[in-house]
Amino acid sequence: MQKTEGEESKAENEEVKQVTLMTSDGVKMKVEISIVYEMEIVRSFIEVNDADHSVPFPLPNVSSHTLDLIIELVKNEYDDEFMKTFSHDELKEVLVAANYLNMKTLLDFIATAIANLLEKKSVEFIRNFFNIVNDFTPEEEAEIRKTNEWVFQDLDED
Amino acid sequence: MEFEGLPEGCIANILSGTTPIDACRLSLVSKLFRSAADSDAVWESFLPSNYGSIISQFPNYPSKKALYLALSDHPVIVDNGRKSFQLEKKNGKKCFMLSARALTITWGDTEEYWGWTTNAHSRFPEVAELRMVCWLEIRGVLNTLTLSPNTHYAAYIIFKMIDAFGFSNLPVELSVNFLGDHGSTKIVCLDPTGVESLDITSAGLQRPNVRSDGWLEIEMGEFINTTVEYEVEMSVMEVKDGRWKYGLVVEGIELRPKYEN
Repeated sequence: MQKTEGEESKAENEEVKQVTLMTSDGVKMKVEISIVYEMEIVRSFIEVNDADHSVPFPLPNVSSHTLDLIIELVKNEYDDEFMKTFSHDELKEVLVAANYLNMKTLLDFIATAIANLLEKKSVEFIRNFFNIVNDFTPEEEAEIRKTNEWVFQDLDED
Repeated sequence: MEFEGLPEGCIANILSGTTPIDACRLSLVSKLFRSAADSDAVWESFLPSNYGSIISQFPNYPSKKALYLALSDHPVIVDNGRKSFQLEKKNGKKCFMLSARALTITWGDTEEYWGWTTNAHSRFPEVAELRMVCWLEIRGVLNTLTLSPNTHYAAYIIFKMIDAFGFSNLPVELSVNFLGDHGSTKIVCLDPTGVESLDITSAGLQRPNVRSDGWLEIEMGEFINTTVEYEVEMSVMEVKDGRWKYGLVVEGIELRPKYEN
């Protein structure tokens, strides 16, 4: 990143601003403010309250492991290769966290990754993946199959 | 890991990254999934980004999904009747047909050689009917930015033979190229009847297929459409044999994605 001289000297004199986040498992993590600013939920709080950054900001829905993954993803500028090392559970955890933290870029990135994973997979696979219970009656299911008939022709469920 | 509380918008976000087939299929997962899979946000992402500029006016559909399905089920006539536009249902890729009026037909304005008629089975108001020529030359041009990027396309000449004469076993040259660039040329026979003749010049030549709409089509050539702008030129030529011929009825030239099987 290009910096003007003024900014450079300022950056040298001032250590990188950090915000302390408290994860669901009680871990306090100091996170660079540039990363924190991608989390709309935290950013809006800081901006409105001009909060004291040393007081941990609680994230009751995000584990320290998930937060680690998110920080690494942002630091690596959303590197596909890095994300490919994630387990399915990790992908889902990051998805839920990105949604909760309201991180637009991360949410789009992770949604695309999961979309690629779900393409051509069976309905049962998706239910298992998201741990979702089928809440349709057989009649409702038949109705969906009928209205989307063109999709269900010559389809092999795996 | 519980997924309760994952909002519909988030699921819609994921489904937008899949295909229309997947989105429809996955509406079976649960009520929340169905609601997301039918949402305008998802189907807007499946529609070509510039569909609004291609179709100047279309009826109000209750949803983007309904619009998508309408555009993929039937071609829409655009550009004052000169082209038709359609989406490939499974992936939303753009298909165009240039009507005969949008093509450059040598002698096309001379009544003795070519006539312009209506055909009840055509999507276009007019088709071109060959009355009598020796020199058969039809050319079409389309800007590649009109098409879906990063897609393998093929061009097809769409026609009928009505009381035709002169085409049996006649080699006809079809070519597709980027303007000012080398392309591909192939020799075919436009006569669908395929009577094996003793005439060695037409033996083994590709012949047209009958489409579901009753017209005949034959592939003219193919190209990869990247994101670079070209004028793609397609032509039908028979000027070598030079015999008199008539009865070829041209609906247009269609460009649609091609898939390797």
